[in-house]
Amino acid sequence: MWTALRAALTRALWFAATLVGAAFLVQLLLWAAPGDPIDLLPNGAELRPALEAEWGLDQPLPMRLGIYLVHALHGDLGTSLAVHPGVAVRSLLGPALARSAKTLVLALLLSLALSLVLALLTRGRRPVLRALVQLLTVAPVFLLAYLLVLGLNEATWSLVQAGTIARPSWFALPDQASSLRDGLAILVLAVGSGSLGETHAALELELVAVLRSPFATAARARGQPLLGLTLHNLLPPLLAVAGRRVPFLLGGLVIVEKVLLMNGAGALLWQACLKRDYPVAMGLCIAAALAVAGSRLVVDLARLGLDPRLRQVRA
Amino acid sequence: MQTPPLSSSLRPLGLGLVLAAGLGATTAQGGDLRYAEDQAPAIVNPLFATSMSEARIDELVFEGLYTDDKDLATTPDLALSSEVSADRSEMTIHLRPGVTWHDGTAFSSKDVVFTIQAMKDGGTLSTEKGRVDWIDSAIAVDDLTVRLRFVRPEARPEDKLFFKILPAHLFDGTAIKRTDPFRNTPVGTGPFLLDHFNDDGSISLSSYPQHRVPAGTAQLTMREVSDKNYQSKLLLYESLEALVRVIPRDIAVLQNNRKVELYPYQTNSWWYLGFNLKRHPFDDARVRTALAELVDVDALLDPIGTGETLTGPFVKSSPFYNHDVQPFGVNASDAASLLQQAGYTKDGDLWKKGGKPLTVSVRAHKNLESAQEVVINLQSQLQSQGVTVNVDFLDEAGWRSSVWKDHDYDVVLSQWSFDRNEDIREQFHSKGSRNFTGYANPEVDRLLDLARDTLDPQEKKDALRQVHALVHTDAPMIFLWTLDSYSAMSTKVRNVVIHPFYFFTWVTDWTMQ
Amino acid sequence: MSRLGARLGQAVLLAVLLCWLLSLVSGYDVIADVTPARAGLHPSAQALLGTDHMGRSVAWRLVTASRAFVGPGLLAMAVALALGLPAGALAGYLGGPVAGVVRYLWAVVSAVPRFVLVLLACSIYGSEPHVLAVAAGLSFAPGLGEALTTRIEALRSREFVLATRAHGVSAARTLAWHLLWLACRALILRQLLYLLAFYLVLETSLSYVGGFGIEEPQPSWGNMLAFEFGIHGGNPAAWAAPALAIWLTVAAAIGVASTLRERGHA
Repeated sequence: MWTALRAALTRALWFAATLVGAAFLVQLLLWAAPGDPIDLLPNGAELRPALEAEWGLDQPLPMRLGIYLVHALHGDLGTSLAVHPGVAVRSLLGPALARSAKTLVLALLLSLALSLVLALLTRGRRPVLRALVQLLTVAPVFLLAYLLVLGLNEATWSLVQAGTIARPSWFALPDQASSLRDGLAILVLAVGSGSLGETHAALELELVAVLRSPFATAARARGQPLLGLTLHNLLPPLLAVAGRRVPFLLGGLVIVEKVLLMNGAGALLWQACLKRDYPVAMGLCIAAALAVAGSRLVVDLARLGLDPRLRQVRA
Repeated sequence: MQTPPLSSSLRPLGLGLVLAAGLGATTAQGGDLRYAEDQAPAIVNPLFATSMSEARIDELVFEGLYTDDKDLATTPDLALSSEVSADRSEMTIHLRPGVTWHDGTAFSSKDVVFTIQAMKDGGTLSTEKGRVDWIDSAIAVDDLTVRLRFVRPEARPEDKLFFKILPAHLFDGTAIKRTDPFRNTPVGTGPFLLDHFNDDGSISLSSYPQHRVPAGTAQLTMREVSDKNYQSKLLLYESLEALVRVIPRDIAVLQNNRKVELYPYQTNSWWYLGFNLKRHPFDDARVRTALAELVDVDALLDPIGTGETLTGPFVKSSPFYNHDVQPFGVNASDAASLLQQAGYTKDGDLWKKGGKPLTVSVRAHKNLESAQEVVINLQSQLQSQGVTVNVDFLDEAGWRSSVWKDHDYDVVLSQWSFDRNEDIREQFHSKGSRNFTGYANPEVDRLLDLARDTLDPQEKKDALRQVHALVHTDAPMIFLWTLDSYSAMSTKVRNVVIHPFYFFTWVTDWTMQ
Repeated sequence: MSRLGARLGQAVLLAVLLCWLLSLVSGYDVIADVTPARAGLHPSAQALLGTDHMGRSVAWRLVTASRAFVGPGLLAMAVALALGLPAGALAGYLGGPVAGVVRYLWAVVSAVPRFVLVLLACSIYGSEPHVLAVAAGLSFAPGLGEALTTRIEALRSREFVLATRAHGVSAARTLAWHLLWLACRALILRQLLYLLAFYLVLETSLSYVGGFGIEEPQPSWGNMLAFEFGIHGGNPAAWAAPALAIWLTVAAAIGVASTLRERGHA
């Protein structure tokens, strides 16, 4: 019990330390930039006095980080400078993150479900199917999204013109918010840029390891059904794979939201980066780091709970 | 019409999914005019408008004392009538009675006074400050009368009273900030009121029933479609009714479509190649003229669209354009002799001076449509004439710092847009705030000052035409062209008249079936 | 991955290398090739893949564009190796607090998603190819380092390592030659191929969506795609050829990398 608690505490501390480190990294990137970041802002000249005080530009780097962290802990992530000038970063981020979180979680679940099914199908054999999956999913996310949108729109339009169907409410992609657009985003994110291929390969490896393990052989010898046993033993590595997927999906999300004109955190990051709105960009990077580190923490804790071997004292 | 072959081969791809998804309900259309912007307005407040999408939405929601009529002549809007004193240093404006703000409050002179004071207030970090520098003071004589006093005598003050009026009762004091609560519920007197900012970034507006001119469309929706590849497609799919500006490569496709109507309009904007006169060798007029004579402007224009090539800083239809000035034209031999005079010699394929080849670094803004094609073409033209060209495309932030702040460029490709006043002073006066080329010609300064101060329109025209001639000869810029602009509308929208700059000035006439 | 698949992948990568070499020696002038009069020509005998909408030869631009991603791709690999290899190897070999510190650094850098990190770097430092390459290399270093650390940690208590040390071979040589070169090179190569694929997809996505990356008139498959996308009635090969090139190269890189996995798997 104590070892488990200690293990959990260690991981929680690791999570916090990682977040601080990520905040430092982002700040470092920013302030190591050539030239003065305030100069790069659209109305830098007029905002200089206020910003210099707020950002503590005359202080050494650790102090600046300290100031930022203290503010962040109070929930103050600064104010947007270019995207929506004057609006608090926190109120911009909140709704955007909520919209993106839905897409992200569903894409992760879809990716895992599809790869699990495929892994069960291929099971270390059927190299053709595996190669096909790899080949199809390797297309960059934006290409996949654009082609699907183009294809769907053109096909629907010809059908509407011919009078075969009534004009659907989601037409034309990606102009309006609709479940089809969301679904497309989830599909493309789960499959594209090699995402499905990698998840499938990783899961397949684990599946083969489980199927070749002594307890699986014993179960087969006893005539017990394998599926339940396999899935139960597959759960920890499945969680591990899921945890590793999160950063890739976050990266893909940024592109998908831009191409499909969705109004989430990814699109906001683009805008912030293009307009050099550093408070918003920093806030989003930290949110991304939080998602990644947080998912790792959740996965670790879940594995601690699921896998008794991890709770044993390490030699 | 030539359908892109790629999409026709993709139709079977989407068919299965479509038949499943196509069982959705039909959308109800009519009455809602949806238009697309490249970038959504960041804020709906005329004091802080920095982009055209903001200017356009401000045109829908707010009104000014004067506006343009359909002949582009100044006509009273919120003003009813006015008198200017004999010495032309004071103006009394009688306001239109019965006007109300969108929240029901009555419009009065104190709103006008408030707006002018807010623009002048140092605490308002606004880009609009310069628009009221010429007004010394504004007083509300009574509820419907305002008296303005000018800094110096004004020939046509009403031409400068187009700025939008803000509601005094919705602000605390005249130091207005972007973060004021007004940003969430903007209120104006215009024909459309802002209903809500939607989650997906679009903005819904509906016609204001108490407006003196009833609008022909019940609703307007601004949609942000940042990908230009989608914009004309959405119009063709009838998901939009209006595109403010069609990119040249989509014009052919839209022209051939019976459900779309293209409306040409001439903006007061022209493209140019601006030299950095503080940099060697572009401080030498011979080098600049030589380069102007090596560039084939018509060949640069041809691939990107239609328009008119120019010789000076006005559009051809402007009264200030000097039609006597002849373009440089392509004159390789004259250019060669000018370069030789400037100390260059042709060494093999390249022009060199002191062993170093003549190199020009051209910078352009990434967002300027077709700038890429122009620059690539220009590079090729000049290279074949022995001038090396390096190319650099900058984003907004890079543009501001490299070009505006640091003046770190040899040549910029850009465009200037002007409203009806065509005031080129800021660009060409040696003290002009937008004169980043570093141009200074005392005679031009004198003529620009004369044009600003004179009360005689003919004198102004003559002065500016002379400026045109001088600026052409000095060649701080190679004047390129003014592009024909087209907006595209669904044929469901009738009675369309478009303002060349503000687009929506006469939107109340438009009707939607 | 079948032998045929592996061979095909290797053939594609070899073709890319040949394109790169060809582009270094050919006299193709990207600037002089601009001829608006010949815009949008379809593939023919004179122009193998036709012309784009500024009249430039698509085939030659396709070949020359390999220069744009092989070079920066190699730079990204160098950065990833420089940052990931020594730290990862030492952490694996020495263990203890060194491994702890290095692991922490990897955790921090990999906490920010790779694409987000690169995008941030572009917005701060500009979008030249070397910025992209360095940022991509940096974001890949944790993956490389972590994989190395795990493998070397697993190997360091094996008999052959103990025997090598017992024979008097120095720790440095054991690490560098016996462990890194002999036992880990497949793993390193696999990671580098993944990086190449990532860099190509990154450059393409940034060129198309954001206008970053290699700038005109220098061709890259990404900016060729971006330049031609949405052109009506033009030459579809001008768009399809770079898209296909990207797809094939990425598939080949990942495919070949996965064959390395199978042989290098302990």
